[in-house]
Amino acid sequence: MISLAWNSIRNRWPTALLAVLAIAMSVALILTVEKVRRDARNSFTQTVSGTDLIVGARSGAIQLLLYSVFRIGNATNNISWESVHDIKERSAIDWVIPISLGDSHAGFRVLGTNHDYFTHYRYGNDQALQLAKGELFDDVFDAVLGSEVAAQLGYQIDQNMVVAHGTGNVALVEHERSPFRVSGILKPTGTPVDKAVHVSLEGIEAMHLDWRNGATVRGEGTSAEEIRTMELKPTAVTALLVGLNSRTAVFREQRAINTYREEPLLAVLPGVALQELWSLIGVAEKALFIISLCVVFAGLVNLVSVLLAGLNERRREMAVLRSTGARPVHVFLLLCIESTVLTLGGIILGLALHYLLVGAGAVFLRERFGLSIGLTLPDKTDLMILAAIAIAGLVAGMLPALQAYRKSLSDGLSQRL
Amino acid sequence: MTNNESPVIQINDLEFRWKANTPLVLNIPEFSVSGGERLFLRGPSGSGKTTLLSVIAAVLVPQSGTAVVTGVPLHTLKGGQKDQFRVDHIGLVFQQFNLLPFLSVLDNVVLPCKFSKKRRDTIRQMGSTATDEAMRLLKAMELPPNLTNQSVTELSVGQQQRVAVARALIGQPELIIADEPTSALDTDTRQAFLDLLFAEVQAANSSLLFVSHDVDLSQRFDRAVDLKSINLAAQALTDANASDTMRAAP
Repeated sequence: MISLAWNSIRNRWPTALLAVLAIAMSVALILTVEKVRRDARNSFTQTVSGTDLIVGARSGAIQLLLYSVFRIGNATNNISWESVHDIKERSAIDWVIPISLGDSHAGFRVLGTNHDYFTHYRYGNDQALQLAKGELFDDVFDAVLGSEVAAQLGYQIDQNMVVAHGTGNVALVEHERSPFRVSGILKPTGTPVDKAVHVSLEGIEAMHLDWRNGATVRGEGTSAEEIRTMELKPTAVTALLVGLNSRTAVFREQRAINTYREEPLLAVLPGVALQELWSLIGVAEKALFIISLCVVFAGLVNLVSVLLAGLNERRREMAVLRSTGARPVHVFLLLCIESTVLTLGGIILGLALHYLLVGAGAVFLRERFGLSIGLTLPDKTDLMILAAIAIAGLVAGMLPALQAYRKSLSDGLSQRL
Repeated sequence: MTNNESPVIQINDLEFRWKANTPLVLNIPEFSVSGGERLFLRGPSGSGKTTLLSVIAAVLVPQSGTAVVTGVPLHTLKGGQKDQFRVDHIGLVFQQFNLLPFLSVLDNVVLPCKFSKKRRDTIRQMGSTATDEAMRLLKAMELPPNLTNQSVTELSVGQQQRVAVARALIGQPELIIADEPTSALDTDTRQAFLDLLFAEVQAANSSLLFVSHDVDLSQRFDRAVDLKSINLAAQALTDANASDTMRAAP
């Protein structure tokens, strides 16, 4: 029976190939979509990792996450430097990254911080920030650019840039007196870090030195040289990223910060907040999955239609088979085996296509988006999807097989056309 | 094995209709073919030829009456037994499109042996193998040996029909049924085809039921029967309903 089916497929290879291709495409698509979906969620929920708590002024968890990590929206209030100091002094706390936001450069957010940011900030699977070129900021007017900032603006090391107050694309007034210099450019991370201009906290202070009530006072300009000699001390920051000595202390520290008496503060667990945020934007992910399910369905419909269309011209073959002793069950089996072979062929080809796509796409995604997608063996979900497709193919193949079975019963030996 | 005295086909009071409350297609009070006989069954299209052959081949089940073929009362067969009976005892040759396009010439001829232990056993008793026997038959049917492993689509219609005969004969079934096997052939190849068919049917000690509307061929057979003369339903049908003839015309 199997060799009969195989010969039959070989004889009909153009249509068989089409059916196999249709299934291969849908298999490759659903596997790739699944993989991108999973990896996108992973890289999203690992936008910030290694950080145990995010601290900001009291607002909502998602709002805090949005402005501190994704740099979307603005903080309702700042954290005073005294509070930062108090938190830093707590015994359970290992390190603290201060983040000061509120300014922009050509549409990119300016982030004031210190070297702790580059030492302790982690994203993805415990990956640290790395410099592609240059070095970290050393001077008040040094800036370290995220990869996308550098790429889009075409900035090179040592180039001068002007930082504007406000966060709009077209800033109201530019801090013309505070010429910054590009000291370093970071490697792509696939996180909002790529879109930030990093300067020291002192640099942020320097920018605002001559500002009173939102406007420069004429003639009061302080030259860069003068500023360098001044002792600049930050008075407040926007948010803190906190790392603990031991993760077990995380809930205690969270409560301690949330009930801090001097100032209303909020501490959130980044993992929890990220999951919460993902559940909001996860609708798109579900839509993507549903679309790929539809493609699989279309592939199976194609298989059935190829088999059904061939059925009419095969009624003669069925009659011949029956005349040489094949039972209706044999006719049924013949078509079932054929559709199974086609489905399996499609799945194997689809897997190959999937790896080809991922292999080719991984390079592009890493270079363009810093999204690392690795070649992995199909995991449990993938295998379940493949098994489901195989079973669906089998069931789909039964439809024409059943039709052939009925026809071979009713036609008998007559060769109707 | 076949007793030449006992009939290979014995039909009594056979009635067949496609659906209830439709006219009878077959109404045959009596019809028989003796063992080893070569019978020419003449019938125009629509006279119930193919239906009768389907009944004899145990594909269709008559509503009443009995048909005993090669000693087997067909009404006693169930489901798969009918298919087994067919391949064990009957070799079939159709008008055209006899061969599976996806198998080689040789595989087409060997095909019944895959489904019939009886045919395989017969070949083994002859001291041969299915492949060798197929080669012998193909050679006997005067097919060039270089064709045997080719695709059947490369054969001429005449060659295809001879391959079909070789397939029908392999393993020596008691009865060969040929349903207008020559209608797609021209006059010269027709006679040559008959020569080969007769020789091999005789060699296999089989009976031959040859259905055709080509009366010219009939004198070469042991006996010629007009289906209209044995099938009362055909008389009624062809007289009353000419349009039915048109519909069933090939």
